[in-house]
Amino acid sequence: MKRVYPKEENCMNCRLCEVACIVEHSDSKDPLGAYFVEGMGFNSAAGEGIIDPADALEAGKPRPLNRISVSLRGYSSISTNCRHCSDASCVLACKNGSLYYDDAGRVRLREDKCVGCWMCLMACEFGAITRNPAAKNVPKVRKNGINHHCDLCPERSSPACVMVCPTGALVYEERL
Amino acid sequence: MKYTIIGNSFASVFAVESIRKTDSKGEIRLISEEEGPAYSPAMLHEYLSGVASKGLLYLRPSDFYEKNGVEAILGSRVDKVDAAARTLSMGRKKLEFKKLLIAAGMTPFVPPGIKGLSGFDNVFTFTRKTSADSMLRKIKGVDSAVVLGGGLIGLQCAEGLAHAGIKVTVVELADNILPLALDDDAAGMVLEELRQEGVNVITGNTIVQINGRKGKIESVTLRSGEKIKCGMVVVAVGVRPNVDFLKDSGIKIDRGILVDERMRTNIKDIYAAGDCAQGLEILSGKKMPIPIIPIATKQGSVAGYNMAGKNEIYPGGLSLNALQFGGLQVVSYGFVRDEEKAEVLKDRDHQGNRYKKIILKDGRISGVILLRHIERAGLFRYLIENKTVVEGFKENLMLWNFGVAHLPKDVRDAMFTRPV
Ligand SMILES: Cc1cc2nc3c(=O)[nH]c(=O)nc-3n(C[C@H](O)[C@H](O)[C@H](O)COP(=O)(O)OP(=O)(O)OC[C@H]3O[C@@H](n4cnc5c(N)ncnc54)[C@H](O)[C@@H]3O)c2cc1C
Ligand code: SF4
Ligand code: SF4
Repeated sequence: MKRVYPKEENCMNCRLCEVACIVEHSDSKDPLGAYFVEGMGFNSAAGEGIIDPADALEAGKPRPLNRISVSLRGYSSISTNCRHCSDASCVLACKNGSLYYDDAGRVRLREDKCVGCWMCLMACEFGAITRNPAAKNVPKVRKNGINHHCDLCPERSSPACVMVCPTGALVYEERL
Repeated sequence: MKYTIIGNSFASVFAVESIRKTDSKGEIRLISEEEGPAYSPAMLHEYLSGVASKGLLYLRPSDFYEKNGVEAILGSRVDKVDAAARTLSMGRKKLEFKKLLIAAGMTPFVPPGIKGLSGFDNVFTFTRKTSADSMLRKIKGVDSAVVLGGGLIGLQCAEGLAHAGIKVTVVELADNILPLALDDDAAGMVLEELRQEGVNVITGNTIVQINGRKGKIESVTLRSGEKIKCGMVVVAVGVRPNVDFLKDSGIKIDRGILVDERMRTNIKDIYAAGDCAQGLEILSGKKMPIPIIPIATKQGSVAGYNMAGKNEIYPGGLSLNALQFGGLQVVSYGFVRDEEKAEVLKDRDHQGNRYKKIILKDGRISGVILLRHIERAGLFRYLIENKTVVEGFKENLMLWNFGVAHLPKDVRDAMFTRPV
């Protein structure tokens, strides 16, 4: 199965992959629309002093969340996302069967089922899951949200992040 | 019939799927004492309070059994297994098996010594859907409840009852709640959140007597002499492997069913997985039952692969937890209270009310607690399970923005250059 692999020597921390991901998963598929109409400002899950996305939502500033994120240390950076593992830890940990493998072998979320218990987030060894507060299925639970992770852009032949990266720091290929 | 599975929950569902990934035809028979499709016990509190719709309870779409060619015998309890004769019995009915997986889960532990426990209607345990269903039938006539046990199950049940509008008091024998998953600092913060959710907690105490008239509970008496008015009592002091029906079966049992790295018991072609099994714990190197979902599913999956002929090794389990009470999230890994001969890194950020604690032994991580800041928590799981020596970059671990770039290059390469 083809997966996204980082080539960290090429990553220059421009974070265009995060932008492309947000735009691809927006309603308008347009950067201005995604950032300034559908959401306010942007979020990087790797940023310093993260505001809890749920707090942002409560403050009336829902932010579209990237499913890939660049992690930065000093001058080196690396962009990573869900590995789409076989026998994935997140699927094994999910409290109620909200995660499943689609026919192509991608790990996907049943968005109307996830209860935001974060067993998956706890279980994923790659730190690839974030919390998406823009959707919730158990309204009475404060700061509820749903699982958020890379879906490999099912409507595209190659994921948006890989396509946009100007330095080839992300590749989409089959490896053994 | 090639495969027989006892149980219809996490371990069994994953075993079925792993068998099917390896053997698309071999007949599978699954037996469970409970009626209905596989559900998550960890959703019961949300089911009880009605905050989650019923569909969110079930583990798989309704065509799961049919699609996987599973003959499901539901509502039948296996009361005996005869390993030598290779038969199991359900009442008078006897079945032969070729390959057997025992995934019978856990059973609630009810402590002896509580006076009046058996004399009342409204005394419950909280591990099965049937308990939640009978609680739901009684809940209308009740305005307050006492939950005995401040572990995960007791607190989830208490929160569920509180969300259903019932006044709840939790009574815990230990000095603090969640003694297995949290340290005192984290437990204190969770306690605060629970109070805001309307759950009252009493620690260092226990119930000695249940009082009432004509089968109706009026109050409980605590060891301290204090009386608490209530119309319902839930006993949630813990669970133990559900193995009593295997007495005299010939299968080796310690606390749970002893299994090797392929989930095999001492008897050929009999496997065990999940809460009823006692498999390897990765940090201690000892076998112990760890009744959590990620371990039940992993063991079930490994058992399924091996039963179907694929060689798959269980690397050992780690105690893991993700808890959510009110708007507070906590994640913990490993042994969080064992600080003997350990280096403890701790940071409590009072402004954001975040808490992070890492326990290091011999340069490796043996326990982690993350509270209100659980972003990328799983990276710690990777470091623990791979026994990565973190001595050289331990100051990075405590950064609030700790991420992939803070790992050494060789660790990053091992994680991200090959398929998983
Ligand atoms: C209230 C509650 C909350 C929980 N919350 C969490 C959580 O947040 N995170 C977490 O990781 N874990 C949680 N757990 C634990 C988790 O539910 C278990 O680890 C998991 O269900 C284990 O799965 P299993 O398949 O091993 O066994 P079980 O889920 O116990 O299922 C056992 C199955 O075997 C059947 N069975 C038993 N005996 C027989 C018999 N003699 N004959 C036929 N059938 C039989 C039962 O009907 C059932 O289908 C919670 C548990 C409870 C009760
Ligand atoms: S979310 Fe994590 S565990 Fe799940 S498939 Fe992706 S990388 Fe693997
Ligand atoms: S947060 Fe959602 S996807 Fe993750 S384990 Fe819980 S229910 Fe499953």
